[in-house]
Amino acid sequence: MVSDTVVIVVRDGSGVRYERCSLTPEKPLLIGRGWDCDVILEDPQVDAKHAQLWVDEEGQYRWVDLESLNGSKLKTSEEGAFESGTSVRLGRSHLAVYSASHEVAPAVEPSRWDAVRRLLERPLWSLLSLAALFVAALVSRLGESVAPLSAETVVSVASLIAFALGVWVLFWGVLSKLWRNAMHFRAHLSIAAWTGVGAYLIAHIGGFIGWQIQSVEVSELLVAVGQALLLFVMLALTLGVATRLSKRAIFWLACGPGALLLVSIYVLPLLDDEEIEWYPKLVSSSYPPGWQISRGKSLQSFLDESPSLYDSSAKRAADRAKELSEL
Amino acid sequence: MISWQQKVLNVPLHLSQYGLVLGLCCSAALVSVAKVDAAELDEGVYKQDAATSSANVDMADYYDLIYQIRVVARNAGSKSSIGSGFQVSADGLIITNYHVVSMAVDSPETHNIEYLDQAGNSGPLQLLDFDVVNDLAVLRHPAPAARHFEIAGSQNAETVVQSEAVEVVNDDPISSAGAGVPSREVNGVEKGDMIYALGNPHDLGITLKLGAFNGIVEHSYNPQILFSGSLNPGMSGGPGLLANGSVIGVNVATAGSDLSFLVPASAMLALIDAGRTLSPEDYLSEIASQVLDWQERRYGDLLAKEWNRVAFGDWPALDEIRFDMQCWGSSNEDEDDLSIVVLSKGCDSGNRLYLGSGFNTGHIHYSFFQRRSVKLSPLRFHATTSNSMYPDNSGDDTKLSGFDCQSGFVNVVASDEAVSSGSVTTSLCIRAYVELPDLFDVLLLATQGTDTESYTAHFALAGVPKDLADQFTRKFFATLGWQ
Repeated sequence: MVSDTVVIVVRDGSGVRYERCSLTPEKPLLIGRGWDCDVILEDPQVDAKHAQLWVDEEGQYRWVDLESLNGSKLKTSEEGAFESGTSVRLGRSHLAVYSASHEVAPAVEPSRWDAVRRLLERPLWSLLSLAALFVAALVSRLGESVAPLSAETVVSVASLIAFALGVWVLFWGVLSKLWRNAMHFRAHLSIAAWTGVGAYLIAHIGGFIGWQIQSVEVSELLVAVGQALLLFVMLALTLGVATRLSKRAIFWLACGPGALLLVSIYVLPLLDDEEIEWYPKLVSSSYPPGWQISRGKSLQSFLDESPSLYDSSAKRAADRAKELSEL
Repeated sequence: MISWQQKVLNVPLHLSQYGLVLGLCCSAALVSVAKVDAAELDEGVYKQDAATSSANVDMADYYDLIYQIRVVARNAGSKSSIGSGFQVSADGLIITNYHVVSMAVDSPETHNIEYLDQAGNSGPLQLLDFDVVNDLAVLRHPAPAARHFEIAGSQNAETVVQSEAVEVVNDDPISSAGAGVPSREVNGVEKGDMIYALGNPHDLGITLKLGAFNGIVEHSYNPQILFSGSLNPGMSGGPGLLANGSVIGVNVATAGSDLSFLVPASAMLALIDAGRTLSPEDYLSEIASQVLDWQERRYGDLLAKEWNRVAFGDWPALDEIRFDMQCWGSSNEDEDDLSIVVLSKGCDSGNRLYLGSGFNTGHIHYSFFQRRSVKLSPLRFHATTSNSMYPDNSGDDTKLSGFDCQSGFVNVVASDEAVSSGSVTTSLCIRAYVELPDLFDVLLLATQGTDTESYTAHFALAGVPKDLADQFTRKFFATLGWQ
């Protein structure tokens, strides 16, 4: 009497699990969505009785599809024979059938990063990350305006609040939908949020450090790095959410604010002048084109170089006049 | 993002949008409204009852001599701006404001200038000459009326009052400079005399305004008569009359309740005496050369002067370097619970030339800021010293190029103890005029500071030739004590 014990790794709508089953030639294992099956799959594309799995007299694993609607995809011989370790796809679910004697890799000691990851995966930590992002953003903005609120300050604080709201929509929208599978995603979100805090700080202190050491380049570099990190965070958030939720309505709700923000901060300023110079535009959208930066000059030489500004602006004006006359 | 830079924001984009909104919600009087609103809105406005005393002279005689001047869009066939005008010679010369007809100067191929008289007749007018500096234009009427106004001070005026000339407001030598800058004297009128302004406000019909003559406006490089009567949009270009009916000035602008301005008759006489007839293709070069001539006189004199440096907290500042500058200052030191002390001082010249809708030039502005941290960390204090600068004049991208800027940490040597040697964060931004060669807008922002204190000096000049702007920049630094 031939019999074998197998471990089936099941990935279906409810997640990943391991089923340990005994196979004999007499009693095939029934696989499907129905509750009378031996291996029950949570997958609407799987039939109630989808397939049968057994071991034949020669000890060979055999698979037979029970003429299911969506079929079974696996590598078998003509008689349905297959090897241990073969993976089967039925509907949206996957099975992998291993002999119980299959060798399992030995356990490894946890790395430092696992501890960090576990910390980041805590829900409270995610909340703290976002709160820190919000506070960093607010402080860096409000620090500019100890003087009475100007229209400019109101607009910038309002845009920050909109940004924070966008982040909150992302956060709750994603988390409520993905709570069960959210372990990795929460880590992803925390990293993104903390990168955001760092980016704000770098961009914020960049100017200060540049001022202290009298270096335009360092100041520019730090501000650029800060802004690039911010860009990265927003892209990561938007794309991260997009890949997770692409088939759900909340995707649009969650990605909308982020996408709008990206467009308004990084794309629109690029379109407002015909002379696009990527670097300064990316560093600060309020830079006009044709901005020259110098360092350590004497006042005399700074002023002696200014005629070139008159000449270049006169040339721009002349070009514009020519352009207008051609219209 | 905060960075060390001093940012330049190009506001004219917003201004032109604002202009568009005005254009949508306001009717024909757009141009005059824009001009009137532009005048000195930031000055305090006080209210008083309008002068109620009635005129003892019969001014009704003159109503027939006032025309409504309309600029008509040829395609639309209806008026796009209105003002007033009046005949000053037997051969049909009509005087109005430049800003009333500026649309026809800007695009002569699509706009006609027309008159509408009291009898309801209308017809075309020919633009002969204009003076953008004094905001005047002279037109020719094809079928002149039999009667016309006499200009006070003209040779053939029979009615010049022989009383003593109004005292010149200051001893400035430029007051008698050549054409384009009329004398600061006003023939035969004394402060407190009643004069009469005529015009057609809001297209409602000819209206007479009685008000006091208050002499020449003090803080204006271009002489203007201060008139205590309310001028309204549409009255631009109408005459200001003495009791005997001779013209003392031309209605031009208002600053709100009963504060109005007239261009003195002398500017009108100079324009008529020039006797020119411009052709439309010369309009732009004429505007350019008038602004250039004016700026050369105005800045030439300003640069020849000694500029006074005054104390501004612990730092230096410039004061009213000439009579046409007005300075205002503010401080927050008396507020409770201060985290930063901010002192500011700003000076402006009132003269702003109207060149077209949403397009002006000629402004001079300089200002100084001092910030002292009371309880801010150096990091936050630094954030507060990030400055922005804005041009004070406006024009869209068909009138002005974008800014070209140069900035950096500039090493300065202090010529005395008022400022410090060391590094000054300096930004210089320049833009040119698309249609007016050799004119530039120049902005400067220079900041010096420590972790707890900062000082910023700034100026914005509009419509200046390169050499004068460069001299102004150097003198500005030198006067503050930076070399």
